[in-house]
Amino acid sequence: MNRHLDECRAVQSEIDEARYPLYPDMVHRHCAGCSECARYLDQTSRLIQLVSDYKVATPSDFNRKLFNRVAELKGRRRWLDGFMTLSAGLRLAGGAMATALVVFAFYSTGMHNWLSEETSSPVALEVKLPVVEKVEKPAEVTVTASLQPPSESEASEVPVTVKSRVRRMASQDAIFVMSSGGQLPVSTVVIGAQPVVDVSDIIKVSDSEESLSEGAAIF
Amino acid sequence: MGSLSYSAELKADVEIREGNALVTDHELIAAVGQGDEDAFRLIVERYRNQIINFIYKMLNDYDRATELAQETFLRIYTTAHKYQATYSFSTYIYRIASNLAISELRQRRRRRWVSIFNPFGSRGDEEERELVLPDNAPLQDETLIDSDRRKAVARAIQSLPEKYRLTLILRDVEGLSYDEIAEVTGLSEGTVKSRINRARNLLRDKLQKYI
Repeated sequence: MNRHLDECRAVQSEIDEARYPLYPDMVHRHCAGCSECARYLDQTSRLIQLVSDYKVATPSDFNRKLFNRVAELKGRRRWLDGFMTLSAGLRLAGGAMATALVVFAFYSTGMHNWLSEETSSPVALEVKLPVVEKVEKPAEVTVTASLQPPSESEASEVPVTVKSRVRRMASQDAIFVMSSGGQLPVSTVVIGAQPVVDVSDIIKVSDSEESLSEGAAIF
Repeated sequence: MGSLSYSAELKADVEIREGNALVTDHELIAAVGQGDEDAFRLIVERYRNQIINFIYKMLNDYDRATELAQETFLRIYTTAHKYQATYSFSTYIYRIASNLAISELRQRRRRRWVSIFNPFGSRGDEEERELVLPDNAPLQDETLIDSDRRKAVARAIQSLPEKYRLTLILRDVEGLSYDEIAEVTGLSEGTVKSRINRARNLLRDKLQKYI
């Protein structure tokens, strides 16, 4: 009895899942000897037939209306493409102008000096000049220094020349120089053609410009 | 007159193109993506009946069904260049159509009239009380007009909750497989099967007289 019920359940599940009217042979075999499953099969088939029979036809002007809408859409898209091209051109021109302004500002303020190879070091020195040694602003400063790598064993002194501009501070003019890694013992400072003899103070700013401390730089 | 000649031209074109038996849906949609309008016409010819019927059964509104079928094809046309042949094209087109139909049903539900005598209504039977505006337009299929049976089937299908209606129509009317329905609806196959069974049981009760 239980076995029959299990079989009925399996058959009804097959009926539910099969694609009407393609029921598997086992369903037909079982239904031939089981009135309940036969009724279930019959009802399910009729129901699906009833639902699937209920159909409507496509209106005769369907394609004409659709392709009219496609034509309208293409017209709109053409207009939109033109507009987008124009606005893209304007955006491009605006971008170019903004870039040009940034580049102009960058060079006119001398910021490019700080990005040159010589100024890309983590070591920064501020060389304060005595008031008497005041120089005219555009004068070029040459600091000749020798580079000492952090590790003593690898020490090999490489003379480097860094260039900077004099910055007019509130109380005192100063040169702010940066150079490649390690300590930077400064040997000479030349402003224009004039060597600076009395440099009042040399401060090592820091390896990462985080703090100011009395410098390891030697003059 | 214009539409007749257009129709004849279209038919001839479709016949010529269909002479090429190897034109698959994926090839056609790829051609549509390149701007081939003839390929688009072929797709429309292949799917328009199915899509109109599917949406009509979801909404029971012939005019709106044809409008939404057109919208479905327009979306196919405008997104053809983005189409990726991961699933079958039929799944893709049914997904667009079912999304449009469901969104239409939801808009109608929002427009549901509120009775001044019962402004709060009953919350329990929301799915069954969707506002279905009367569809007085004559149906194209003459054999079905004024048929009590057709009306009863339409009423029975409309009374099904939206989630059951969608899966039942995709299975029993459109003949999609369970995994295709799962792809269209984004549900698991198990959920699809149980919804179809539930929908059939509900319909069996409602249409007892006709089966």
